[in-house]
Amino acid sequence: MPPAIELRALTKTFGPKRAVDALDLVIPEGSLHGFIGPNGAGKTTTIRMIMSILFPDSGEISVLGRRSAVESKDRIGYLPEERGVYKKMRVGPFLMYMARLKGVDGAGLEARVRAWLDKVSLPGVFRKRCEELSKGMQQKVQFVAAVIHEPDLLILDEVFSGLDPVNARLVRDLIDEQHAQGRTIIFSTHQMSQAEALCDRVVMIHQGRKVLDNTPAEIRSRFDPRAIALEPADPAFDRAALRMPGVDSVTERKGHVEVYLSPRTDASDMIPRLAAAVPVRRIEVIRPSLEDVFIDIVQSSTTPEERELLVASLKAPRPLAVAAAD
Amino acid sequence: MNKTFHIALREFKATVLTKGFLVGVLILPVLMLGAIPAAMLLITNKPPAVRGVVAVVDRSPAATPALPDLLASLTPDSFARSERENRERAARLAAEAVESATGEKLPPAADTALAAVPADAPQISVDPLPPDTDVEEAKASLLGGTTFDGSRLALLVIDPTAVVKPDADPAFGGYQLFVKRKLDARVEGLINDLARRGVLDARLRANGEDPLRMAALMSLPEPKAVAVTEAGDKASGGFQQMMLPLGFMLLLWIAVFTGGQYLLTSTIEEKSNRIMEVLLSAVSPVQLMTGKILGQMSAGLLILLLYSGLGISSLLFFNRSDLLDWTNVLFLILFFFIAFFLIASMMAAIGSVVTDVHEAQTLLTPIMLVVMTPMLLMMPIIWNPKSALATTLSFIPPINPFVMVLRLSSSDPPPLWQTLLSLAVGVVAAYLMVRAAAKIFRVGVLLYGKPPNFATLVRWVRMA
Repeated sequence: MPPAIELRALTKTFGPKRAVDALDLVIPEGSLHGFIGPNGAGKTTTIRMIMSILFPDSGEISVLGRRSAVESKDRIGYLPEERGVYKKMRVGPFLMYMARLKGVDGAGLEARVRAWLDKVSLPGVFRKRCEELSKGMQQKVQFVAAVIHEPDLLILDEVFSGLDPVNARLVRDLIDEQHAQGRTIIFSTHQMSQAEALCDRVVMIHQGRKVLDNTPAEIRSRFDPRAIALEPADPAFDRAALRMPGVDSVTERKGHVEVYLSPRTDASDMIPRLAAAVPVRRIEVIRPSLEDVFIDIVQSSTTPEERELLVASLKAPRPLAVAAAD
Repeated sequence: MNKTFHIALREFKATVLTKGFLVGVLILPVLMLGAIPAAMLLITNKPPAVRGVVAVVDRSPAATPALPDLLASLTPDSFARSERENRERAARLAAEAVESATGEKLPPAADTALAAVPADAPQISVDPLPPDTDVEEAKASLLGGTTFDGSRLALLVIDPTAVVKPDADPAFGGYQLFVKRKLDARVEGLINDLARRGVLDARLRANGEDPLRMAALMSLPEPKAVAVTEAGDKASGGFQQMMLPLGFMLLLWIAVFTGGQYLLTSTIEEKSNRIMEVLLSAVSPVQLMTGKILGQMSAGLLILLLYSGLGISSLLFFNRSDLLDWTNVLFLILFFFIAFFLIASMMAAIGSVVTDVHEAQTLLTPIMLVVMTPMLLMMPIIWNPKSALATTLSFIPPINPFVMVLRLSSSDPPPLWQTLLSLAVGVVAAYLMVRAAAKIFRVGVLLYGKPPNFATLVRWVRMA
């Protein structure tokens, strides 16, 4: 099966700034990809190039088997980060207009729009002007505009920004539903928890380069657990007992203790030894969240030398965590 | 193509089905027609009459004084009569203009109304001063006071040689007129006319002539020219020669710039509403721009057809179809398309690179100065449609459509080859302009922040 999106050595420069730098990326058909990275990392520029809104300085793009998204725009649903509505236009006609621009027309269009409005809990807004809706409601209308033509590929840029938890859950369910129907979905986000919960795979972009491309589980597993959290049974436990070979440092937190291991120490070996030294109510390996990985990578690449190391490590067979720890 | 049509349709509906368009384009002309009688009523609401004194220092020889004729001329009756004559002349000219344009004679009531338009005749008396009066002192009395309080309004100083002149002098002398600073120019003109008439009467009398007889001899009514047409004799005159080109060009101007202005604001709105990127995910920038231009062009065409339809209906109603040249109407429509693509492309390009109307003004000003040229040079082109100036401007985009429309509807239209060449130049220019605008549009449409200057726009056109 050909990939839904394939990028080869994609590069885009704005004046002196290289927004996207030799980016390679393959997104298989039917996958749900999270696109994460700090502000200015190059996520939106990459998405705009995929959508043929911007054109790369060099590199190749393949979208749904075509050399450009222009040739398959009607098969793509796009919710940009910078999104809006025609304020004076009524919601129904606006969505019908967007559907027509995506090649959907005919007698059933109004019924389809009404059904979607019901689905996003916006019944009765068909005749309302867009400006009469709240920001969250407008975002749901924009989401409907992106999916109304039942695209094969759905690109959602910062889809959760500005949504309250209830609407964020609703949109997340809709994304799940679209994915279950076999659609390829890419969404960029700052909310790592959303990416972690939703995605088959996560791609992290930093300073125009790909620094991570894996499943959330693999990303976590590739970061060696470097700490163990334990909750002593007796608050007046023997702190000195924790200072054993293989322990680098010990930090007391509210209600628990974090034991940081020295390099090359196996966490699974250390757990019985620590439990033997100090009676515990609970003991577990601290697994890094995607957010920890994100922050770690961003912070560890603040100097050019570190950035080069980081990128070199990604090209090497060894996983990211080792290079980041170097 | 289908997507471009949908964009054009939305643009057209979003423009035409607004209160602003309906009021501005459809209702405003009706309101203006209704405003004419209201304006007439307001005009007939007369201001207070000018009241005061004209002092006269007669320095002509005692044997042949000017003063008696001046006193006879500067009477309240003379002022009233002159005022009435002026009103009647204005009313007659207006009636002739209306008749010339419509073929309809104004009813007598309208004549009367027009003749009665200005204020009451000024109430002016004459105050003769001694010939040796110090003029500077007399002038001082013109300072202060109003033109309604009966104070001195003017000072006439008659030259010693105004009535009779020594044989050695080549010409007669005249008179000096000093007036109060706030004196109405119309009243000043009346004083000047009557003083001149008085001095001339004195001069005729001194030469043994009867001024009344001379006035009768010099009186000759000016006939009204009659144009001979296939449809019979029609009132002639310069009115339609001036109004027809003016009307055609204004029609083109309104249609083009109304659509162009809407295109500019709708593009800015789409940018500021952040809907541009959503649209660009469905259509290409060129499709978007083309659709917007076609939509607004339809709105402009609607205005053009509506107003020209009204104009043609009026001419047919007043049986003046002879003024209408259907070929010119066809050329008007062709030049409308060219003008619209030229102007609209510029508007779309500017709208795409700015985020609000204030920023657009900076970029629009130089363009507006250029496209205002036909307006500024309208009268020279109408008076002499085949001058080198008019001919040259006929081939310079983006103003050539406006200049050609002026020339085509003038009394001396250009040869056909010039019209066709101007059309060809316009088509090529419009094509190049649309291409350049599309390049700017593609780059500028997602650009936020400080708008680019003209040099940057040119660079985009060259590099894109």
